[in-house]
Amino acid sequence: MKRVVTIILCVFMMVSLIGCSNDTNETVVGENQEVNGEEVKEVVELEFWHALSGENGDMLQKLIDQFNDENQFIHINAYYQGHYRELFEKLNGAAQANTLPTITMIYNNRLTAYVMNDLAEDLGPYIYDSEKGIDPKIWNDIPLGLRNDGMWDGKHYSLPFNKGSYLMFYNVDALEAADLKVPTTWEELENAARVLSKDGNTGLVLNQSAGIDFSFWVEQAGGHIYDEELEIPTIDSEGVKIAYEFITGMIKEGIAHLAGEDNYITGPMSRGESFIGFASSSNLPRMEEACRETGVNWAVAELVRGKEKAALFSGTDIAMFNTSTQEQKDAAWEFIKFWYRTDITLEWGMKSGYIPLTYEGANHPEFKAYLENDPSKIPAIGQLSVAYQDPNGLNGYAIHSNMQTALEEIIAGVKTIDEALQTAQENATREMEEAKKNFAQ
Amino acid sequence: MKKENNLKNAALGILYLLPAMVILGVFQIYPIIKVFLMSFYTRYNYFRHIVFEYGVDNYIQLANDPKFILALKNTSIFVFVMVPTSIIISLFIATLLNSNVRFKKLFRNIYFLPFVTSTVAIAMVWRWIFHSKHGILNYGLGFIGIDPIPWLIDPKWAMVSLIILSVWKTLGYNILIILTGLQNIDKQYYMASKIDGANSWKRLTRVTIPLLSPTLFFVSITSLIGAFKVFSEVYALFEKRPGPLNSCLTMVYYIYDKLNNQFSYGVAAAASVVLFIIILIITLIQFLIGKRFVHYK
Amino acid sequence: MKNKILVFTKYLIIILGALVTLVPFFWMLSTSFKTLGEVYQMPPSVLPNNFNFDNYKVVIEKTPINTYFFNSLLVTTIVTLGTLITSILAAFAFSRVQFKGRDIIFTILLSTMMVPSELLITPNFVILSKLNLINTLTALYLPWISSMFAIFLLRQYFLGIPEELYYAAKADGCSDFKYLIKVMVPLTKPALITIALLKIIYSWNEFLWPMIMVSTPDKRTLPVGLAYFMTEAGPNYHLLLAYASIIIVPVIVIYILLQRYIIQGITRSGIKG
Repeated sequence: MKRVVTIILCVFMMVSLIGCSNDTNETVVGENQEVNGEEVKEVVELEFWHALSGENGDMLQKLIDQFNDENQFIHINAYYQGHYRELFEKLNGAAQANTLPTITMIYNNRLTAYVMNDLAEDLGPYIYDSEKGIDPKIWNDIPLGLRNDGMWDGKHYSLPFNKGSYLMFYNVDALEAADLKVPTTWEELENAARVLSKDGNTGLVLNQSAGIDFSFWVEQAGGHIYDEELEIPTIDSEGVKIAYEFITGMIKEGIAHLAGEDNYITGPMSRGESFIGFASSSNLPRMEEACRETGVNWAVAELVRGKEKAALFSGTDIAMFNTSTQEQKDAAWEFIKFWYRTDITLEWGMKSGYIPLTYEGANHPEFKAYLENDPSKIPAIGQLSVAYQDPNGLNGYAIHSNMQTALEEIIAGVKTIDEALQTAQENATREMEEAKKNFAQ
Repeated sequence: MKKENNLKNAALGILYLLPAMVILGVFQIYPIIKVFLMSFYTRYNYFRHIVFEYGVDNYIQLANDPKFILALKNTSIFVFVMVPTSIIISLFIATLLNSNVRFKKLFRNIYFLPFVTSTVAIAMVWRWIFHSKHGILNYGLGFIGIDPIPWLIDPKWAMVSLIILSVWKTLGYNILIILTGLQNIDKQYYMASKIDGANSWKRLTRVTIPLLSPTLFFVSITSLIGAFKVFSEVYALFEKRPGPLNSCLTMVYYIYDKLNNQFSYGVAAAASVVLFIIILIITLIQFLIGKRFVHYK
Repeated sequence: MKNKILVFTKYLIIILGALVTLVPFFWMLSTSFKTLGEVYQMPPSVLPNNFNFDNYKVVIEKTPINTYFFNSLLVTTIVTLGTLITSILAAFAFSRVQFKGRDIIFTILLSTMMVPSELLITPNFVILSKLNLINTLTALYLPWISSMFAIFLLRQYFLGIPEELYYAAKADGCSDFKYLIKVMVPLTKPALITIALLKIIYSWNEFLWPMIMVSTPDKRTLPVGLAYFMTEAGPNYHLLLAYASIIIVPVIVIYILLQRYIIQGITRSGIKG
């Protein structure tokens, strides 16, 4: 008898445990709204996943609210999904579970997997549509280096969303004291680094992960890290070698160093231990805050030029998944168009950490006035004409990661430049091939 | 008659196990089986669950990947240094805390603190402590005449730093478990040994450790398993990288990298299976040793 | 004399160890009061130049910390209670019910501890999606209301309880279940509290799981807030550490409340080996 009670108890526990799971799940229900008492139109709801928090996140939400207000029949739910790492992990899961959002922020080398698997929506039919298409004037006004990066086989799958660029940070007072003008070429940079390296200080500092973002040095040397045609890395090519020789040469000479345990240039720069540094514009707010207190007088300038002038732009694109309904996709397209409207991109450019996405926005008198107060975005705008972005190949990360390892190996003296680059080339090629096997068609 | 009894017992046993088995089955074992299968997919589509070809390519890939070999090596060093260090120190401190000490409670609370904090936040603090130029550790070492050590920059010291952080982080947990175990030991045994005139070392080796053996057994197994899976400490301490010259590239970092950065799900799955087998073998060995040396009362 | 030296070294070791343990916390607290500029200063200041609660104010304003707190509380409570119930039942079976295949089941379940949790996130996302549980609080606790770790720990303690007790109870006509609840559970209270404590800590600090399984702020838990203070250019140290200092307080309080039971436990119950 008692055993029966035991059994019943256990079963009861089981049921109650499982039963807990019947929470009400939030389902999106379109509300019916009546317009003028006649036409009944449904509000289209859609999800937008992003990775912006803090002030950038607040600004994005503000613009999305504005969009929702302007468009009575569209409601975008914007969800912050953590940083890029978490956002991309979540997209992966959602792709398998078939619960992808309608639009998302994404790096192009991550979007490749979705394009390959026919999960991304070709934006061409929207862009060029005679009715709902984007105004050609605006379309042609988006800087090509940004606009055409989201292309696979000649089709647009993503468009620039939040963009910044790599910049040269420098200590104004230190350069003045040494009677140096702001370097604009590799030679001037090397010279400045040499002059500034004294009293235990090292003139030039790079982020610890400089090898990951190394491509701009390579592009400036006239080389590339990836062959888009053959879809293979070209880490052992001449341009890459020249770039590595330049940077590691300065490091070995003791006039440049990686930020080490500080990780980012902000530490050494704000303490006045280094005077010139390279990092992306996402470093601007920290530099501002850190230097305000240490009293370092700093400024930013365009990247220096080597054989070529080239500026790496960073940040993500916006992409649409084809798993949503046509209504949702149409609604999402309205938002994408909205994003490039002059007043919107202007506000985004002024109130977020990113730049306006059209020349009209960038040259707008209001933006010019804004730049007078905060000149930190001037170099990014100035570099727009030489903008490029990192390659889109599947597992493009392998190229960057192996280039970082190579950089560390060369600096540590474990390998020569040729050996390190060759190993990196082999590993990156293998790892990129390896990734393809997971998306066989 | 006996057979019937066994059946009845089995039904009863399963019933008691059911709640745990359902949850673990759905959210742990089922995914693990999927991972196991995935490690044998050589050509397939991750998003759509279509498999075109099975094989052992992923394992061959692993065997030929110097990074994986390095990860194996790094993880082994980490485990076999970190776990014994942590257990010996915590056993030592736990017995001290269990003896007649004033402010026992306060000390116990202090030692447990590290275990409570989030790894992300505290790893950041350790980055300052380890800072070669301005860190408090080198500052302290400077007092006793030791030259600054490049803790996080030099590949050799990077592993040492990781071990220090991990020992510090796991100490509180080990002490807690061991203290709980010590409470289980009847005071009479101590009395008896005292009467027999045993000194404190003998008491430790003849009474405490044997009677504590189930607890120590548990601690060593769980610590070892935990140590083999070290990842978030690396990720946080070296700002998302595997340390200078991949010196702290551990197995789970490797798996994580393949999984979340490199789209190599098959290889990640294969690496997990290898890790799993290694841990399983070592755990089984521990169980075998345990059978001989662990005394349940 | 020799005794005095021994006592002295004992205290010395304990105190030194405690100091080493405390330094990072001291640093965390101290940094949480600094400005970002001061954080970057080297050599660093030991105490903040200005003791004010600005960082704490910012942190509380920037995150929906109240909502997060209640979600964390709910999730942690359910996870902990659930784990205790499932582990008590399972550990009993693994220690007192003899049947064929028991050890195999034990080994299979034990193997769940050997797989890195990072690997299981995506498969679980898919499972929870199929169960229609993504973006619910259920997704945060349901998969965690059972733990092999807890079962294993409890089994170790159950095995330590003399079998004679069991047969004596049986002879008195006590059922298995009653024996479990009336005898074994009270006897292993310290272990149960240890399990509860460990589970509370894990559950309270879990970051990646709630980040991935839930999308809306109204269902997120406290550690997710840490993400607000990390940027592409590195963490906002001062804010992040202020936030981290806030969220550990409840766990420390719970620990202090619970730990005395761990220590009292069995000594009081007075069973003999």
